[in-house]
Amino acid sequence: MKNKIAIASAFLAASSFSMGKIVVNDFLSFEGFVDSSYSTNQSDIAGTEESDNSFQVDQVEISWLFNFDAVTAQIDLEYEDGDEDNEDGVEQAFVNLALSNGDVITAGRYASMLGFEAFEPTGLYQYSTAYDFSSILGDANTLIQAIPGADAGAGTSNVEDEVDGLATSEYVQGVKYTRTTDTTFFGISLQDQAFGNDGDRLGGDDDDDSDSSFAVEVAGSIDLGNGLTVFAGGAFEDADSGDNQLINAYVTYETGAWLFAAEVNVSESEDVAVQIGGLPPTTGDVDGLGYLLMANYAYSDVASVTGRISSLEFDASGVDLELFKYTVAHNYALSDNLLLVTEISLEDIDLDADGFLDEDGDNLVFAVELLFSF
Amino acid sequence: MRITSPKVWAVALVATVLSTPIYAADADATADRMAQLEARLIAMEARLAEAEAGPQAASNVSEARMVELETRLAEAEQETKEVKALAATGGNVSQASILGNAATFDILANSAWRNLRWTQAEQWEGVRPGVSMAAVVEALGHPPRSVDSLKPRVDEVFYYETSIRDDGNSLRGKISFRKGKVLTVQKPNFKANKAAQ
Repeated sequence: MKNKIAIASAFLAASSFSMGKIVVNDFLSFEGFVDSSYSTNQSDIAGTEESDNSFQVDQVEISWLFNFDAVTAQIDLEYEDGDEDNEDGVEQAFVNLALSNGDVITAGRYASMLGFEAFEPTGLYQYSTAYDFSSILGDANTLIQAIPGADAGAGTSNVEDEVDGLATSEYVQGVKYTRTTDTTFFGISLQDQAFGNDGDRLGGDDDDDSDSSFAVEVAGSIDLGNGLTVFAGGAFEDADSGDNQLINAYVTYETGAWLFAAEVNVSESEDVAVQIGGLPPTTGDVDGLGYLLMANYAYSDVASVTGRISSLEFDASGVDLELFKYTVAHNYALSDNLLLVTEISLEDIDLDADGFLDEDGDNLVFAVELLFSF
Repeated sequence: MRITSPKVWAVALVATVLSTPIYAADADATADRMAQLEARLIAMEARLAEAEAGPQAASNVSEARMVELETRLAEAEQETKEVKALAATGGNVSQASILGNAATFDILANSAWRNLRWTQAEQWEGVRPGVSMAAVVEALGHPPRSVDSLKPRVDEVFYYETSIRDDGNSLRGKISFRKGKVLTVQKPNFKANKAAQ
């Protein structure tokens, strides 16, 4: 099981026959997956205890892969449980034009190049992603809203929104140029947005409704040999609602049955309005820092264990937020296309809102996931 | 003019008679082409053997020239196989087909060969652990099915199958890859399949 190690994916993308697929004919192939899980969590935030569980099909995806020699295209149709943006349907839809020198121009809706972890469960080493704190943040928000006088009014941000600021959008719309060699990868993308602000256009709006934006994403990686790869990239968004940027870098080292990874994210968001509890609303920059450390060991041909530590820290307008996550996961492949994942994660939150609020808490998550790919 | 049954039969008879020499000419052309290719192949093999023989010869022949000769030899071998495949099936196909064009048959035979060459046992001889993915595709063609493996030490698996339902007569081959190189090979059981037939 592989993650979206940039080098690996980029280099594999250089060979047209490297994707798993069911070939219908020379021009059309299919691939996809079905991801389902059971999870239970027990949270204790500022003395308030809660527990919950879920059992569901998390995501279903079918990719249509078209091949017309120099022109290839891909359309990903998906269902994703809990998609609050209601973007089920077309996850990706893009066309690639391979130039004579092997470089590729991509246009349409496609995945961001940034980030160590894959956007799909087929590329992960665990059930959860490193920076997903939605469960504990949801409980924290509920707690904050319950405080007398607390009200995150319209147009302001709650703690979940601040966390979103550290992660770029998984899928964007635009035009991308990529160059891949045996040991290097470079890509640059001009797109409608990078952080979910004012999407579906490329600037050009003179209205006062602050709905104009465009973004540039740049990424590069190099295989240094002996299993060591280095990736660095950034996303820069120019939006009427405030400029945002993120620098992402990670290193992977693979030796024998071991894979190690270390990643760091540094972000800055401008003019974010924050109102927590009864504090006066403030507007200012939000600085974010995130990192992960991961080790994966394949102890047999079909099984591996993974340990991961990840963290997010924010310094917002009057609000300091720190999140930690400790994860242990076990993967067992029942076959080449059927995987059983079990995971235990402990999440920790510390929220300090200028003396008005200083609380901490934790959340214990246990999950079993069954993943079928084709 | 009314189209009546006797007229239709008459036209069909005339068309059959007229087209017979064309098919015969196609068969002759195929045989000639195969003979020419085999002669070229023999000549190239002789030149390659001469180039590879002895230190003196090796010193006179550059590495690039050797590579070029080997490439040309491989291409010639491939072309000869395709023509043989065409010759083996071409006669029956051409007479039974409504297409009736030598070039079309040539394309169809070439295409069939490229897509199904993995069903020939000798094509698997060079597929072994350590061989590159590109070499596998060159030898066997693109797989009808492949999957990005969920096993930790396997990147991708190629499945070469005639059928996954028919246990008796199906051919099944499976190749797993790690970092673009063959990890394991499960060749189709050609002997059992032949016996079953």
